[in-house]
Parts: sequence; structure tokens; C-alpha cells
Amino acid sequence: MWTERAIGQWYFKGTDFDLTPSRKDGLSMDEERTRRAKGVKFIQDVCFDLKLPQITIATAATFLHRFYMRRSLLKFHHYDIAGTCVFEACKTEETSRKMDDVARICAKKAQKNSALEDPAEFAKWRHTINKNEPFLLGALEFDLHIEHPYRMLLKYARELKNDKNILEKDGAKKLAQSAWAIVNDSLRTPLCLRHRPNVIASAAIYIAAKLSNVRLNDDPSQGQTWWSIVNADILQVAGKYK
Amino acid sequence: MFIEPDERDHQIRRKYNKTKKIGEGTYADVFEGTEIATGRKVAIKKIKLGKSQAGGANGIELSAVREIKALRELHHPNVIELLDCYSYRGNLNLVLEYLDSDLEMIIKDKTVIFESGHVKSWMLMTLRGLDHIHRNWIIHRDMKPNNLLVAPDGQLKIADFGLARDYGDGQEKNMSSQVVTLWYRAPELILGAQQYGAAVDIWSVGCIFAELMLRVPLFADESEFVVLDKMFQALGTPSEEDWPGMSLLPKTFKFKKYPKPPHLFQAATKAAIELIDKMLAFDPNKRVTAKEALSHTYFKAKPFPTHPSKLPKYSRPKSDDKHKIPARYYSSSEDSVTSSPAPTAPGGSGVGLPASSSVEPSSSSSSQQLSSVRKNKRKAEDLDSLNEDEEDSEGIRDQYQDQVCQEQRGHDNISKNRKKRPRKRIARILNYSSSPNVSE
Repeated sequence: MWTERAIGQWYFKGTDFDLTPSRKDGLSMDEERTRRAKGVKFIQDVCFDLKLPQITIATAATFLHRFYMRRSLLKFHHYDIAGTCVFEACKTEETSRKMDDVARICAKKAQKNSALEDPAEFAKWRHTINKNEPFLLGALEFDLHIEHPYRMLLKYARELKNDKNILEKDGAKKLAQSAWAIVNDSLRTPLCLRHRPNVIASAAIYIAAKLSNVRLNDDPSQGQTWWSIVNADILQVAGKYK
Repeated sequence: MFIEPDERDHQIRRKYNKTKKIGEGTYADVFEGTEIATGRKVAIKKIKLGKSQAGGANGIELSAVREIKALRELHHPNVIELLDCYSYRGNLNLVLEYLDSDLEMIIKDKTVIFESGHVKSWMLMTLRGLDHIHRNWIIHRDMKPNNLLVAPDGQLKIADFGLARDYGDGQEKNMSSQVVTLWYRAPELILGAQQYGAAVDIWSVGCIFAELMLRVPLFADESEFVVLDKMFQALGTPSEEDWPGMSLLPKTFKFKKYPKPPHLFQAATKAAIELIDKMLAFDPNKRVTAKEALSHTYFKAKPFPTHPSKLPKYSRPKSDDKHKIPARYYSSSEDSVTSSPAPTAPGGSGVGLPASSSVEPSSSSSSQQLSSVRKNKRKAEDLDSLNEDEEDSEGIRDQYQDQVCQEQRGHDNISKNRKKRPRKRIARILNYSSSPNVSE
């Protein structure tokens, strides 16, 4: 089915990252990672000023990572694409912001000058976003619906509530909160191109549990294991294959 | 593995042959085309860039983005299929199924007689499509006969996802209540609810169900509150028990109390009445879901739903080329050659009078023409259906498969896609006070 093909094409093997358009253009792996991270940092800053929810940030970041699997960083600057991704994510996540507002904040963040009032610079950003929008949609192959790990974390918070291993009051909630922060940090890496959201969510829960010395149930005979709550494959969570 | 986007666009573009422009909407031009490999007709929607309102400063129209997002997720025989997307020279192009008529045209075609099996079949297909949409956590938010397109093989397809959006299990707040064409708008939306769900689509389907039986829109008026009043007249003003939480909605007020009248649809079967009552329940939590409705006894009782291939079709007049394009493709000034009779009976049974076929010529005052443009949009389509002769069914052949759900990829489909209507619905709300019944 078309949908399945469309989703499957956005997950990559580790070796695929040697073949990205940017790598073909001669950029080193490290440099590509750095620029992707800078792009996402830019997205986070702009979204913060626009008071956008975390879902919109995550969608914009996923757009950016997917975009650079189709186009080269040397031909499309990461700030330009980050701004366009924010604007597009606003539309797809029903958190609309005006083009003028997005362009203004982008200009300020790009120049690292929050007092900037330069109409020419704002107009330039509007033009950039307008120009790049069709490129972005084309490179994304019009897949605008993005599933995020956040919803799975909410499921964890619900399911782990009665887990007897978690002694602390509101333990499940706190666990999910720190996992949420871990997922936020993961946005700067192309993790969303390697693993499905349920795998990322259960890995984040595992790390969060390790950090707070909580032992989650990993024995199927004792009921549901922590990875099966979101139907993740433990071998994938452990990074054994794919 | 890594297909260059430009190469991909090029490949897709070469799959189709664009022939002629068939329509123009707020955010897109619509072209007729063919898939070269199969000869299948398609509609290609070319999205205009930088031409939107607000000085072209908002990039690609939000409704275009919504439509792409929703249709990429949905694949069902009763939902219009997005075949391909590509960008070319900075323009976006959507390739869609090509469908030539919609349910509104068929309802208005007075030469067609509806049997209860026909109504049942259309309802079944609508609910199947809607169930698929809701299963994917999408609400359509603009269900109306005009957006239910009919394929040459009789399959009904839900189209126009320009208002569609995701609804999650999370309590989404601040959703706009200014959605759905007024006549099909659920009471909670009229009362300004900002948290709502799939039930708003079911209300619209209930209105469509009634419209299929009555052959006129059930709650037709220009003003939100008159529509609400008609609902209460027709179904009885809900009490606090009928609809807990009604008094907490933003735009609620002290309603006029109407008793529950004898049922509107005396002629319908018991099962049909029960289903329509469940769809038009005031409390969104008590309204049936699409899935529940599909397993209702109405669909199992006799008469069974008519096979899609046997359903009545809209037959286009053959005479001249202009009529091959539905009236709404033309500017409204062209439409306003007739004046409308008073659209509703004031204080009547709560149901609008038939959008009657007794269309009278207009008196020539230009101001009258202007203010009746909006109403005449529907009337003009009436005219179209009056002018037609029945002999035309060119190329529409009986070559259907037996399974109701089987999608047919006919290669000689004579069909026509429709494009976006201009955003009249907002104008309709805002201007209701300034548009008196001039023809009275």
C-alpha cells in the first residue's frame, strides 16, 4: 500500500548516512551532523519565541532531517530550511503563525540580535520561506503527517502508574517527564530517521529509569515488559539490528 | 535508494498528460489530464503560490496543506484518492481521481426518483468512507452533499479535505468552531464549542440523510441562530438532561422552548427513523459513531442497499460544451440571472420549502441581483438540471464489479473533478443580516 511505502522510505540504515546528498557533495559526516544540529537548535529557538508547543518543534525537526536526506546542505542553508520547516510545521500541526511573525523571529535569531528591526532583512526571510516551501514539500514527498514518541510516553505514564517497582509517588509521571526531556534532546540528532517513534519512546523510558534507579519489568512471565507497552521490539531498542 | 527529488518529480510529471483547464478555485487551478500508461482520466490540481489573501504573504494555502496531509493518509474506495503529488517549476501539483458529479447535483435533479434502497446505499458508502477517516483520527469538518462526489461506477467518494484536521485522544483545545457549511453544522459548533470531535461529522451526515429523504436541505438558512431555532423546532429544544453541558458552551443563551414534535419522517421505516435520531442527537457524546451506525439494523433490513452501479446518476445535458462544467465553475454574476423564491417558510415546520423548480425570471434591478447572488448559486444549479435532457449517458457503461467496496479503475471514465468553491461560507455567516429576502 502506498501509505506503508511512504512511511517505510523515511527509515534508514546506519550506512545510508554515508550516501546522503551532502556527503556526495563532499561534506564530512561530522560536519553534516553539526549543521543538522544547528538547524534544529535554530528551530527550537524560533519556536520558543513564537510560543509554539513541543509537537510543532518535533515536527519541524523531523521535516529538517528528512529534507536533508533528499537535498544537500551545501545547496540549501540549514537556517533557511529550519525557518521554512517551522512555518510548514505550524500549518500541519494546526498551530498557525503569520508569515510575518515567523520571518521576523527568524531574522532576529539568525543575526543573534533580538533588537533587530530591519524591514529589508524581514522581507528577505519572507522571500526565503516562500521560495523554499515548495522545495520542502517536494523533498518530503508530501508526507506531512508525523507520528512522535510523545504520545507513546503518555501511554507509559498511564500504564506504569500501577507498577509496583516504582515506589515514589507520581513515579510514573516523573519517569515519563524525564523521558520526554530525553526525546527533546534527541531531536538534534537524526534519530527519527533511524527508528520508529515507539522504539525511541521505550529507549527514552529505559534511560530515564536507569537515571533514577528504577527497575522496570523485563520478564514477560511477570506481566507486560516495558518495551511491549508500546509494542516495541527489544532488539531494536537495544540497537541490535536495523 | 536516494532518488533525487528533481528526478522523482520529473518521473511523476511524465506519467500524466495535462490537457485542458476545467476550473479555478481559491487556491488551485484544476486541469483535466490522463495517465499516459493506462489512459485513465485524472484531475490535476495546480496549487497557486503567493496568490493567497493577505497580500500573498502566507505561502501555500493552509487548506491545501491540510488536504495533502489528510489525503496522503487515507486510502479507501469511498474517499477521493490522491494518486500523486509533484512539484514542477516551483508549483505544486496534486493528481486526483477524476469524478464528474456530486450528490448535490443528483438531489437537485428532479427527474430522478429516489428509492429507499438508493438512500441506504449512499448512506452506507458515506459512512464507510467517514469511518475510515475517523479511524485515522481525522475529522473532515465539511461534510455536505456537494462534497460527496459520485464516480461513473456509482461509488460515492468523500472529497474536499480543506478543513480536515487531526483530533487526538488528548483534549485538543481552541479548535475553531467556524467550520462546516452552516446548514450542516452541528449544534455544539453553532454554540461556539472549541473542543469537539468526530461527532460533528456525524451530525452533518444526519442532515444529509434527511436531505436524501426530503430532497431539500434540512436546516437551511442564512443565520446561525435561525438554523439553531429550526433544529429546536424540528427536534424539540434539548433539556439539560438531554444534553448535559449545553449551558456551559460559549455562545449559549436562553433558548425558546419547543416541545418535541411528531417525527419529521413519517414515511420512513422505523429503523431509518431510529438511525436518523441517533445521528441528530444534540449531545455529541450520545451521537452514534460512524462505526456504530454501520452496524445499525437499518442497513440489514429490507430493502437492501442498491448496488452502486444501479444508483441514479446525474446526467449532463449534451447540447453545448458549457454545460459540461457545473454552474459553480462560473463566476456568480453569471449565475444570478434568476431571483430566488423565498427560501424558507417563516415560522413553518422547521424545514425549508423545496428549493423549488419554479424559478422565475428576475426583475432587472441590479442591487437585487447583487444581493441575491449568494442564494442563486444553488438555484443556478437547479436551472442546469432543468435544462438537461435525459438521453445523455455517453460512455458511461455498465461494467461494474460485484463487490460494493471494489474500487474500479475504469479506463474510459467520463468524469469530472470539481474544484474548491470560493469561501462563501464565512461570507454567508457574516452578511446574513444584510441580505434580506429581496424577492419578497
